[in-house]
Amino acid sequence: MHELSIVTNILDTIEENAISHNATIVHEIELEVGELAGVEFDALEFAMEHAPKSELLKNVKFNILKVKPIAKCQICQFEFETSEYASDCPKCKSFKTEIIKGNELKIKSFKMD
Amino acid sequence: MCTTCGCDHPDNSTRFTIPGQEQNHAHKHGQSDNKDHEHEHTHNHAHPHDHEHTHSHSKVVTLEQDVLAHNNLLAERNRGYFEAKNILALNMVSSPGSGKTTILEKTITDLKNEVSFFVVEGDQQTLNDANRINATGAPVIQINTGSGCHLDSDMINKAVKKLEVKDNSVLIIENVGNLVCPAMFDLGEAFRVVVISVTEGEDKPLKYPAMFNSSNICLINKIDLLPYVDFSVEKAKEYALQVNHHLQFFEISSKTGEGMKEWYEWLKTRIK
Repeated sequence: MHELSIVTNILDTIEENAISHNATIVHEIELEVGELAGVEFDALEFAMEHAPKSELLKNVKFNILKVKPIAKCQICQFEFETSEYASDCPKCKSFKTEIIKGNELKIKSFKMD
Repeated sequence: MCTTCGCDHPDNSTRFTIPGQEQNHAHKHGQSDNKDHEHEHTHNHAHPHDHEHTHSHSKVVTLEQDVLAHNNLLAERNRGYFEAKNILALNMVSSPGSGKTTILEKTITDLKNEVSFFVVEGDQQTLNDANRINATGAPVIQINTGSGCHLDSDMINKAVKKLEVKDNSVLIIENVGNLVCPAMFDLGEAFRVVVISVTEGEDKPLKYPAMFNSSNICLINKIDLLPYVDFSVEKAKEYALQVNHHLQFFEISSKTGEGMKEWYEWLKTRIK
């Protein structure tokens, strides 16, 4: 259950940035979360709903953009969509593949007044 | 903030304890400390201006920032500190009960005349592991995370300062026993060492891929029990390599000492 500490991290970052932009209220936070980012989406949403929020963030909505993982074969350089770390190259069958996209956990932007 | 340990909340918070100094760290501080624990945070956030808003002034601020940016930044600071002091930092991760502490006890006991070890122990509760390491003679600090499921770079930063790690040494961080959450948190280590024991399922690397993917070394422990369990070392390695083909393996028994020599050789070649 590290999702709560992740959400707390997000809220702290947004709060800090919102204050520096003289925000009176933050409406929405947009996140980019890879399916292999190591977070459980249900737990993340639960944490977003229940994490204690400041006045500035009390009505904030989260918009999560899920990112489909892409792996690259280190042998034949083929890039392919995958859903797990352990995926053999569909072209040359090598297991020497690396995830090049889909493990990000990023705050894209926030909407404020 | 608690002035004894530097933690943020008076209850259920992270605690740092060096064995033998437990009494200095009870969370009921003396009366003279009470004044430090008064926190009056009643801000008045009312903004009494009534504008007539007929259109939205909302603006979008782009951040493009990693959620764990704060942890990663501090981890890099730790890494720089370790490099400058020629400290080899290892982050040991595994599920509970794979034998991390026993591996540490054995490694420290066998190498203590050649290598200077410092240990950070992470557990939710108790000083048990720190006491076991303390008995080997290596300086150790226990981090109790309370309800926390992982160590982060800030805890390591604080723990290392309290532990006063010397130059040209090996710092071993024994993370909270958990194959999920610690995978995401860089502590500033040079190598991440994942431990799997033969009493677990050989498909652990496939079930918990993030941890095996982010590790450099895999210790397969308790190989003395292989005759009694249905664990295929070859299969476990195959699964682990599917997740991370860079992994380097050592098959060991921290109880009998089998295979430990190769692990020690690796460790010694990493100490410059």
